[in-house]
Amino acid sequence: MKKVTFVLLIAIGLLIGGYFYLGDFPKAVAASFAKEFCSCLYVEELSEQDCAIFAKQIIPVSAYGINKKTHTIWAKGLSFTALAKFDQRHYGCRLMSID
Amino acid sequence: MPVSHFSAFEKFDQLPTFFKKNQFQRFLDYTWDSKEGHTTDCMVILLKGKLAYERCDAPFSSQQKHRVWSISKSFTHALIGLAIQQNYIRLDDTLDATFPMAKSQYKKQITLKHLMQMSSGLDWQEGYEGNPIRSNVVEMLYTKNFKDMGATSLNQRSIAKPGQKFRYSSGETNLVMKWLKAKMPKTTYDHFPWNSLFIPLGIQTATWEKDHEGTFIGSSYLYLSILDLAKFGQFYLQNGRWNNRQILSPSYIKQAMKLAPSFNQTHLEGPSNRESYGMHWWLNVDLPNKGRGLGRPYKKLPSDAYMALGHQGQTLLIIPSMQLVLARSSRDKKKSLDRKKFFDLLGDSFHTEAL
Repeated sequence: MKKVTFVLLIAIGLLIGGYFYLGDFPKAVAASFAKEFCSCLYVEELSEQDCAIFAKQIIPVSAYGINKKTHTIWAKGLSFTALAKFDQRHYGCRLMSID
Repeated sequence: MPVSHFSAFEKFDQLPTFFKKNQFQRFLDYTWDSKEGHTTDCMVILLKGKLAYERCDAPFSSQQKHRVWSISKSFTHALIGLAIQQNYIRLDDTLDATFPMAKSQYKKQITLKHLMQMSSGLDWQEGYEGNPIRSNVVEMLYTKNFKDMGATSLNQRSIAKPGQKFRYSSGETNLVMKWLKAKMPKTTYDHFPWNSLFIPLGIQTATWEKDHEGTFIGSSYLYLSILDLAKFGQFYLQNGRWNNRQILSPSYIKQAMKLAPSFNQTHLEGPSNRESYGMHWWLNVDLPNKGRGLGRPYKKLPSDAYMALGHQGQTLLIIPSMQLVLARSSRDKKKSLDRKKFFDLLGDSFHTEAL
Protein backbone atom coordinates (compact mmCIF):
# COMPACT_ATOMS: atom_id res chain seq x y z
CA MET A 1 0.00 0.00 0.00
CA LYS A 2 2.84 2.33 0.94
CA LYS A 3 4.46 1.58 -2.40
CA VAL A 4 1.27 2.44 -4.31
CA THR A 5 0.88 5.71 -2.40
CA PHE A 6 4.51 6.59 -3.11
CA VAL A 7 4.14 5.90 -6.86
CA LEU A 8 0.89 7.87 -6.89
CA LEU A 9 2.54 10.83 -5.17
CA ILE A 10 5.43 10.74 -7.64
CA ALA A 11 2.97 10.62 -10.56
CA ILE A 12 0.97 13.56 -9.17
CA GLY A 13 4.22 15.44 -8.58
CA LEU A 14 5.32 14.84 -12.17
CA LEU A 15 1.94 15.97 -13.49
CA ILE A 16 2.01 19.18 -11.45
CA GLY A 17 5.66 19.77 -12.29
CA GLY A 18 4.98 19.07 -15.96
CA TYR A 19 2.02 21.44 -15.93
CA PHE A 20 4.17 24.28 -14.61
CA TYR A 21 7.11 23.36 -16.83
CA LEU A 22 4.99 23.27 -19.96
CA GLY A 23 3.16 26.48 -19.05
CA ASP A 24 1.10 27.71 -21.98
CA PHE A 25 2.99 25.62 -24.51
CA PRO A 26 0.18 23.05 -25.11
CA LYS A 27 -2.00 25.88 -26.44
CA ALA A 28 0.57 26.50 -29.18
CA VAL A 29 -0.16 23.19 -30.89
CA ALA A 30 -3.69 24.14 -31.97
CA ALA A 31 -2.91 27.86 -32.21
CA SER A 32 0.05 27.58 -34.56
CA PHE A 33 -1.78 25.07 -36.75
CA ALA A 34 -4.89 27.25 -37.08
CA LYS A 35 -2.96 30.48 -37.69
CA GLU A 36 -0.40 29.11 -40.14
CA PHE A 37 -3.02 27.02 -41.99
CA CYS A 38 -5.14 30.16 -42.38
CA SER A 39 -2.24 32.18 -43.82
CA CYS A 40 -1.22 29.31 -46.05
CA LEU A 41 -4.75 28.89 -47.46
CA TYR A 42 -5.92 32.48 -47.75
CA VAL A 43 -2.71 34.49 -48.12
CA GLU A 44 -0.35 32.16 -49.95
CA GLU A 45 -3.35 30.56 -51.66
CA LEU A 46 -2.05 27.01 -51.51
CA SER A 47 -4.31 23.95 -51.50
CA GLU A 48 -5.90 22.53 -48.33
CA GLN A 49 -3.70 19.48 -48.72
CA ASP A 50 -0.48 21.51 -49.00
CA CYS A 51 -1.53 23.68 -46.05
CA ALA A 52 -2.28 20.68 -43.84
CA ILE A 53 1.24 19.41 -44.49
CA PHE A 54 2.79 22.84 -43.99
CA ALA A 55 0.98 23.66 -40.74
CA LYS A 56 1.63 20.26 -39.18
CA GLN A 57 4.11 20.36 -36.31
CA ILE A 58 5.87 17.63 -34.31
CA ILE A 59 2.78 17.30 -32.12
CA PRO A 60 -0.14 16.97 -34.56
CA VAL A 61 -3.62 18.42 -34.00
CA SER A 62 -6.41 15.93 -33.37
CA ALA A 63 -8.91 17.69 -35.67
CA TYR A 64 -9.34 20.83 -37.74
CA GLY A 65 -11.92 22.40 -39.97
CA ILE A 66 -12.40 25.20 -42.50
CA ASN A 67 -15.39 27.50 -42.69
CA LYS A 68 -15.12 28.94 -46.16
CA LYS A 69 -18.04 31.33 -45.63
CA THR A 70 -16.44 33.07 -42.67
CA HIS A 71 -12.84 32.47 -43.79
CA THR A 72 -12.03 30.82 -40.48
CA ILE A 73 -9.93 27.81 -39.50
CA TRP A 74 -10.33 25.92 -36.25
CA ALA A 75 -7.96 23.32 -34.84
CA LYS A 76 -8.00 21.07 -31.77
CA GLY A 77 -4.88 19.87 -30.05
CA LEU A 78 -3.92 18.78 -26.51
CA SER A 79 -7.45 19.68 -25.34
CA PHE A 80 -7.31 23.25 -26.63
CA THR A 81 -9.27 24.67 -29.56
CA ALA A 82 -7.89 27.58 -31.57
CA LEU A 83 -9.59 29.76 -34.14
CA ALA A 84 -7.90 31.86 -36.84
CA LYS A 85 -9.61 34.21 -39.26
CA PHE A 86 -8.67 35.75 -42.57
CA ASP A 87 -9.25 39.50 -42.40
CA GLN A 88 -8.49 40.99 -45.79
CA ARG A 89 -5.92 40.98 -48.58
CA HIS A 90 -3.58 43.52 -46.99
CA TYR A 91 -3.75 42.23 -43.43
CA GLY A 92 -4.05 38.47 -43.90
CA CYS A 93 -4.92 36.18 -40.99
CA ARG A 94 -5.03 36.54 -37.21
CA LEU A 95 -5.26 34.05 -34.41
CA MET A 96 -8.62 34.92 -32.78
CA SER A 97 -8.92 32.70 -29.71
CA ILE A 98 -7.55 29.68 -27.85
CA ASP A 99 -9.93 27.95 -25.45
CA MET B 1 -5.11 41.99 -63.35
CA PRO B 2 -1.88 43.26 -61.82
CA VAL B 3 0.92 44.40 -64.07
CA SER B 4 3.32 41.53 -64.65
CA HIS B 5 6.19 41.71 -62.19
CA PHE B 6 8.27 39.80 -64.63
CA SER B 7 8.21 42.74 -66.98
CA ALA B 8 9.68 44.92 -64.24
CA PHE B 9 13.02 43.24 -64.80
CA GLU B 10 14.85 43.05 -68.08
CA LYS B 11 16.55 39.75 -68.76
CA PHE B 12 20.27 39.52 -68.04
CA ASP B 13 21.79 37.32 -70.69
CA GLN B 14 25.48 37.42 -69.83
CA LEU B 15 25.49 34.89 -67.02
CA PRO B 16 28.87 33.38 -68.05
CA THR B 17 30.56 36.74 -67.43
CA PHE B 18 29.58 36.45 -63.74
CA PHE B 19 29.48 32.73 -63.02
CA LYS B 20 31.71 29.78 -63.88
CA LYS B 21 29.35 27.40 -65.63
CA ASN B 22 30.17 24.15 -63.82
CA GLN B 23 30.43 25.67 -60.36
CA PHE B 24 27.21 27.60 -60.80
CA GLN B 25 25.51 24.38 -61.85
CA ARG B 26 26.81 22.72 -58.67
CA PHE B 27 25.30 25.56 -56.64
CA LEU B 28 21.96 25.11 -58.42
CA ASP B 29 22.08 21.34 -57.96
CA TYR B 30 22.52 21.78 -54.22
CA THR B 31 19.78 24.44 -54.03
CA TRP B 32 17.18 22.26 -55.73
CA ASP B 33 18.24 18.84 -54.47
CA SER B 34 15.27 17.54 -52.48
CA LYS B 35 17.39 14.66 -51.19
CA GLU B 36 19.31 17.22 -49.12
CA GLY B 37 16.20 17.62 -46.95
CA HIS B 38 15.60 21.31 -47.64
CA THR B 39 12.79 22.52 -49.91
CA THR B 40 13.46 25.46 -52.19
CA ASP B 41 10.21 26.93 -53.52
CA CYS B 42 11.62 29.79 -55.59
CA MET B 43 14.95 31.41 -56.34
CA VAL B 44 15.65 34.60 -58.25
CA ILE B 45 19.02 36.20 -59.00
CA LEU B 46 19.34 39.76 -60.23
CA LEU B 47 22.58 40.99 -61.74
CA LYS B 48 22.99 44.69 -62.50
CA GLY B 49 19.26 45.05 -61.84
CA LYS B 50 18.32 42.52 -64.49
CA LEU B 51 16.77 39.10 -64.10
CA ALA B 52 19.61 36.58 -64.46
CA TYR B 53 17.93 33.50 -62.98
CA GLU B 54 14.41 32.61 -62.01
CA ARG B 55 12.85 29.30 -61.00
CA CYS B 56 9.86 28.33 -58.90
CA ASP B 57 8.70 24.80 -58.23
CA ALA B 58 5.07 23.78 -57.75
CA PRO B 59 2.96 24.71 -55.88
CA PHE B 60 4.59 28.17 -56.03
CA SER B 61 4.91 30.64 -58.88
CA SER B 62 7.13 33.73 -59.03
CA GLN B 63 4.16 36.06 -58.59
CA GLN B 64 2.60 34.16 -55.71
CA LYS B 65 2.84 35.37 -52.11
CA HIS B 66 5.22 33.44 -49.89
CA ARG B 67 5.82 33.99 -46.18
CA VAL B 68 9.24 35.52 -45.54
CA TRP B 69 9.31 35.05 -41.73
CA SER B 70 12.18 37.07 -40.24
CA ILE B 71 13.02 38.77 -43.51
CA SER B 72 10.07 40.92 -42.39
CA LYS B 73 12.53 42.52 -39.94
CA SER B 74 14.52 44.10 -42.75
CA PHE B 75 11.32 45.57 -44.22
CA THR B 76 10.69 46.97 -40.74
CA HIS B 77 14.11 48.60 -41.05
CA ALA B 78 12.97 50.32 -44.24
CA LEU B 79 9.70 51.49 -42.65
CA ILE B 80 11.50 52.99 -39.66
CA GLY B 81 13.85 54.86 -42.00
CA LEU B 82 10.91 56.24 -43.94
CA ALA B 83 9.17 57.25 -40.69
CA ILE B 84 12.34 59.02 -39.55
CA GLN B 85 12.46 60.94 -42.83
CA GLN B 86 8.86 62.02 -42.25
CA ASN B 87 9.71 63.14 -38.69
CA TYR B 88 7.47 60.65 -36.94
CA ILE B 89 10.25 59.09 -34.88
CA ARG B 90 14.00 59.32 -34.23
CA LEU B 91 16.65 56.70 -33.56
CA ASP B 92 17.65 58.41 -30.31
CA ASP B 93 14.09 58.60 -28.94
CA THR B 94 13.84 56.82 -25.61
CA LEU B 95 11.29 54.15 -24.85
CA ASP B 96 9.92 55.81 -21.70
CA ALA B 97 8.77 58.91 -23.60
CA THR B 98 6.16 56.82 -25.42
CA PHE B 99 5.71 53.98 -22.94
CA PRO B 100 5.65 55.44 -19.40
CA MET B 101 5.60 51.92 -17.93
CA ALA B 102 9.22 51.53 -19.07
CA LYS B 103 10.46 53.26 -15.96
CA SER B 104 13.11 50.95 -14.55
CA GLN B 105 16.69 52.21 -14.51
CA TYR B 106 17.67 50.33 -17.68
CA LYS B 107 14.36 50.30 -19.55
CA LYS B 108 14.09 54.07 -19.59
CA GLN B 109 17.50 54.28 -21.28
CA ILE B 110 16.45 52.08 -24.20
CA THR B 111 16.43 53.96 -27.49
CA LEU B 112 14.91 53.04 -30.82
CA LYS B 113 18.46 52.46 -32.07
CA HIS B 114 19.08 49.89 -29.33
CA LEU B 115 16.00 47.98 -30.47
CA MET B 116 17.04 48.17 -34.11
CA GLN B 117 20.44 46.74 -33.11
CA MET B 118 18.87 44.01 -30.93
CA SER B 119 20.75 45.50 -28.02
CA SER B 120 18.06 46.65 -25.59
CA GLY B 121 19.26 44.34 -22.82
CA LEU B 122 15.72 42.95 -22.48
CA ASP B 123 15.59 39.24 -21.76
CA TRP B 124 14.45 37.02 -24.64
CA GLN B 125 14.55 33.39 -25.76
CA GLU B 126 14.18 33.36 -29.51
CA GLY B 127 14.67 29.68 -30.38
CA TYR B 128 11.43 27.93 -31.06
CA GLU B 129 12.77 24.82 -32.73
CA GLY B 130 15.35 23.85 -30.13
CA ASN B 131 13.23 24.63 -27.09
CA PRO B 132 9.65 25.59 -28.01
CA ILE B 133 8.49 25.23 -24.42
CA ARG B 134 10.67 28.09 -23.19
CA SER B 135 10.46 30.17 -26.37
CA ASN B 136 9.28 33.75 -26.04
CA VAL B 137 8.46 33.69 -29.75
CA VAL B 138 5.94 30.88 -29.26
CA GLU B 139 4.37 32.78 -26.37
CA MET B 140 4.22 35.93 -28.48
CA LEU B 141 2.83 34.46 -31.68
CA TYR B 142 0.57 31.73 -30.34
CA THR B 143 -0.20 31.75 -26.62
CA LYS B 144 0.20 34.40 -23.91
CA ASN B 145 0.74 37.51 -25.97
CA PHE B 146 -0.78 36.98 -29.41
CA LYS B 147 -3.30 39.77 -28.94
CA ASP B 148 -0.65 42.41 -28.18
CA MET B 149 2.61 41.07 -29.56
CA GLY B 150 4.23 44.50 -29.50
CA ALA B 151 4.01 44.60 -25.71
CA THR B 152 5.80 41.27 -25.21
CA SER B 153 9.31 42.69 -25.02
CA LEU B 154 8.12 45.74 -23.11
CA ASN B 155 7.16 43.44 -20.26
CA GLN B 156 10.44 41.50 -20.27
CA ARG B 157 12.99 42.13 -17.52
CA SER B 158 16.29 43.84 -18.27
CA ILE B 159 19.32 41.59 -18.06
CA ALA B 160 21.88 44.11 -19.29
CA LYS B 161 22.41 47.83 -19.69
CA PRO B 162 21.06 48.94 -23.10
CA GLY B 163 23.72 48.78 -25.80
CA GLN B 164 25.90 46.26 -23.97
CA LYS B 165 24.50 42.89 -24.97
CA PHE B 166 23.31 41.54 -28.32
CA ARG B 167 20.29 39.29 -28.17
CA TYR B 168 18.35 38.51 -31.35
CA SER B 169 14.73 39.13 -30.47
CA SER B 170 11.56 39.10 -32.55
CA GLY B 171 9.96 40.85 -29.60
CA GLU B 172 12.15 43.92 -30.14
CA THR B 173 11.01 44.29 -33.74
CA ASN B 174 7.37 44.10 -32.71
CA LEU B 175 7.99 46.66 -29.99
CA VAL B 176 9.48 48.89 -32.70
CA MET B 177 6.30 48.49 -34.75
CA LYS B 178 4.11 49.18 -31.72
CA TRP B 179 6.21 52.28 -31.02
CA LEU B 180 5.75 53.46 -34.62
CA LYS B 181 2.00 52.96 -34.28
CA ALA B 182 1.97 55.24 -31.25
CA LYS B 183 3.73 57.98 -33.20
CA MET B 184 1.33 58.42 -36.11
CA PRO B 185 -2.43 58.63 -36.74
CA LYS B 186 -4.08 55.20 -37.06
CA THR B 187 -5.04 55.53 -40.71
CA THR B 188 -1.53 56.73 -41.60
CA TYR B 189 -0.04 53.72 -39.81
CA ASP B 190 -2.47 51.25 -41.37
CA HIS B 191 -1.44 52.32 -44.86
CA PHE B 192 2.15 53.28 -44.11
CA PRO B 193 3.88 50.15 -45.52
CA TRP B 194 1.93 50.53 -48.78
CA ASN B 195 2.00 54.31 -49.16
CA SER B 196 5.61 54.80 -48.18
CA LEU B 197 7.28 51.64 -49.47
CA PHE B 198 5.31 49.09 -51.48
CA ILE B 199 3.52 51.45 -53.88
CA PRO B 200 6.62 53.56 -54.67
CA LEU B 201 8.52 50.33 -55.43
CA GLY B 202 5.68 48.82 -57.45
CA ILE B 203 5.36 45.94 -54.98
CA GLN B 204 1.82 44.65 -55.48
CA THR B 205 1.77 41.32 -53.70
CA ALA B 206 2.43 42.35 -50.07
CA THR B 207 0.32 41.20 -47.15
CA TRP B 208 1.42 42.24 -43.67
CA GLU B 209 -0.45 40.68 -40.78
CA LYS B 210 -1.27 42.57 -37.57
CA ASP B 211 -2.06 41.67 -33.98
CA HIS B 212 -5.33 42.57 -32.22
CA GLU B 213 -3.93 45.98 -31.23
CA GLY B 214 -3.39 46.73 -34.90
CA THR B 215 0.42 46.47 -34.71
CA PHE B 216 2.10 45.09 -37.82
CA ILE B 217 4.00 41.92 -36.94
CA GLY B 218 7.30 43.34 -38.11
CA SER B 219 9.19 40.31 -36.87
CA SER B 220 7.57 37.56 -38.90
CA TYR B 221 4.34 38.00 -40.80
CA LEU B 222 5.05 39.66 -44.13
CA TYR B 223 4.16 37.79 -47.34
CA LEU B 224 5.14 38.72 -50.86
CA SER B 225 6.23 37.18 -54.14
CA ILE B 226 9.81 36.16 -54.82
CA LEU B 227 10.06 38.84 -57.52
CA ASP B 228 8.86 41.51 -55.10
CA LEU B 229 11.33 40.25 -52.51
CA ALA B 230 14.14 40.53 -55.06
CA LYS B 231 12.91 44.01 -55.92
CA PHE B 232 13.26 45.05 -52.28
CA GLY B 233 16.83 43.73 -52.34
CA GLN B 234 17.54 45.72 -55.49
CA PHE B 235 16.10 48.80 -53.79
CA TYR B 236 18.68 48.46 -50.98
CA LEU B 237 21.44 47.68 -53.47
CA GLN B 238 20.56 50.98 -55.17
CA ASN B 239 20.93 52.71 -51.79
CA GLY B 240 17.24 53.44 -51.44
CA ARG B 241 16.77 54.83 -54.94
CA TRP B 242 14.01 53.61 -57.23
CA ASN B 243 12.94 54.89 -60.65
CA ASN B 244 15.21 57.94 -60.34
CA ARG B 245 13.67 58.86 -57.00
CA GLN B 246 15.54 58.78 -53.68
CA ILE B 247 13.03 57.07 -51.42
CA LEU B 248 15.12 55.94 -48.45
CA SER B 249 18.13 57.87 -47.19
CA PRO B 250 21.47 56.30 -48.29
CA SER B 251 23.07 57.33 -44.98
CA TYR B 252 20.36 55.46 -43.06
CA ILE B 253 21.08 52.33 -45.12
CA LYS B 254 24.84 52.78 -44.62
CA GLN B 255 24.34 53.06 -40.87
CA ALA B 256 22.50 49.71 -40.85
CA MET B 257 25.51 47.99 -42.40
CA LYS B 258 27.80 48.88 -39.49
CA LEU B 259 28.29 46.17 -36.91
CA ALA B 260 26.11 46.71 -33.82
CA PRO B 261 28.61 47.65 -31.06
CA SER B 262 27.06 45.14 -28.68
CA PHE B 263 27.75 42.30 -31.09
CA ASN B 264 31.51 42.40 -30.51
CA GLN B 265 30.98 42.26 -26.77
CA THR B 266 28.61 39.31 -26.80
CA HIS B 267 29.69 35.71 -27.01
CA LEU B 268 27.06 33.64 -28.79
CA GLU B 269 26.83 29.90 -28.71
CA GLY B 270 27.92 27.84 -31.70
CA PRO B 271 28.09 29.14 -35.27
CA SER B 272 26.06 32.22 -34.31
CA ASN B 273 29.21 33.64 -32.76
CA ARG B 274 30.67 33.97 -36.25
CA GLU B 275 27.75 35.93 -37.63
CA SER B 276 27.47 39.69 -37.56
CA TYR B 277 24.52 42.03 -37.24
CA GLY B 278 23.89 45.67 -38.04
CA MET B 279 20.43 47.18 -37.74
CA HIS B 280 17.86 44.55 -38.67
CA TRP B 281 20.22 43.21 -41.33
CA TRP B 282 22.79 40.37 -41.07
CA LEU B 283 26.25 41.38 -42.23
CA ASN B 284 29.37 39.66 -43.52
CA VAL B 285 31.94 41.86 -41.81
CA ASP B 286 35.01 40.79 -39.86
CA LEU B 287 34.60 40.57 -36.12
CA PRO B 288 37.74 42.33 -34.86
CA ASN B 289 37.07 42.20 -31.13
CA LYS B 290 35.99 38.58 -31.17
CA GLY B 291 39.48 37.86 -32.52
CA ARG B 292 40.41 34.21 -32.56
CA GLY B 293 40.80 34.47 -36.34
CA LEU B 294 37.08 34.29 -36.91
CA GLY B 295 37.07 36.67 -39.85
CA ARG B 296 33.82 37.18 -41.68
CA PRO B 297 30.97 34.68 -41.43
CA TYR B 298 30.82 33.68 -45.10
CA LYS B 299 34.38 33.77 -46.36
CA LYS B 300 33.54 33.07 -50.01
CA LEU B 301 31.26 36.07 -50.20
CA PRO B 302 32.65 39.62 -50.32
CA SER B 303 32.70 41.51 -47.04
CA ASP B 304 30.14 44.03 -48.30
CA ALA B 305 27.51 41.28 -48.62
CA TYR B 306 24.53 41.63 -46.34
CA MET B 307 21.48 39.48 -45.75
CA ALA B 308 17.92 39.29 -44.54
CA LEU B 309 17.34 35.77 -43.22
CA GLY B 310 14.24 33.96 -42.08
CA HIS B 311 12.89 30.75 -40.58
CA GLN B 312 12.80 27.67 -42.83
CA GLY B 313 15.59 28.99 -45.03
CA GLN B 314 14.19 32.28 -46.38
CA THR B 315 17.13 34.23 -47.79
CA LEU B 316 17.71 37.63 -49.32
CA LEU B 317 21.36 38.26 -50.18
CA ILE B 318 22.68 41.57 -51.45
CA ILE B 319 26.23 42.05 -52.72
CA PRO B 320 26.70 45.69 -53.76
CA SER B 321 30.23 45.18 -55.17
CA MET B 322 28.87 42.55 -57.59
CA GLN B 323 25.52 44.24 -58.19
CA LEU B 324 23.94 40.95 -57.19
CA VAL B 325 20.67 40.22 -55.41
CA LEU B 326 19.60 36.68 -54.60
CA ALA B 327 16.19 35.80 -53.16
CA ARG B 328 15.25 32.30 -52.04
CA SER B 329 11.87 31.27 -50.65
CA SER B 330 11.59 27.88 -49.05
CA ARG B 331 9.92 25.53 -46.63
CA ASP B 332 12.89 23.78 -45.03
CA LYS B 333 10.90 21.66 -42.61
CA LYS B 334 12.70 18.32 -42.67
CA LYS B 335 16.15 19.81 -42.52
CA SER B 336 17.43 23.37 -42.60
CA LEU B 337 19.41 24.62 -45.52
CA ASP B 338 23.14 24.53 -44.78
CA ARG B 339 23.49 28.22 -45.35
CA LYS B 340 27.27 28.17 -45.19
CA LYS B 341 27.42 25.50 -47.90
CA PHE B 342 24.83 27.39 -49.96
CA PHE B 343 26.84 30.62 -49.82
CA ASP B 344 30.17 28.80 -50.30
CA LEU B 345 28.92 27.11 -53.46
CA LEU B 346 27.58 30.43 -54.72
CA GLY B 347 30.91 32.14 -53.91
CA ASP B 348 32.85 29.34 -55.65
CA SER B 349 30.93 30.04 -58.81
CA PHE B 350 31.91 33.73 -59.07
CA HIS B 351 34.60 34.61 -61.55
CA THR B 352 37.37 36.07 -59.38
CA GLU B 353 37.54 39.13 -61.62
CA ALA B 354 33.87 39.73 -60.81
CA LEU B 355 34.76 40.04 -57.13
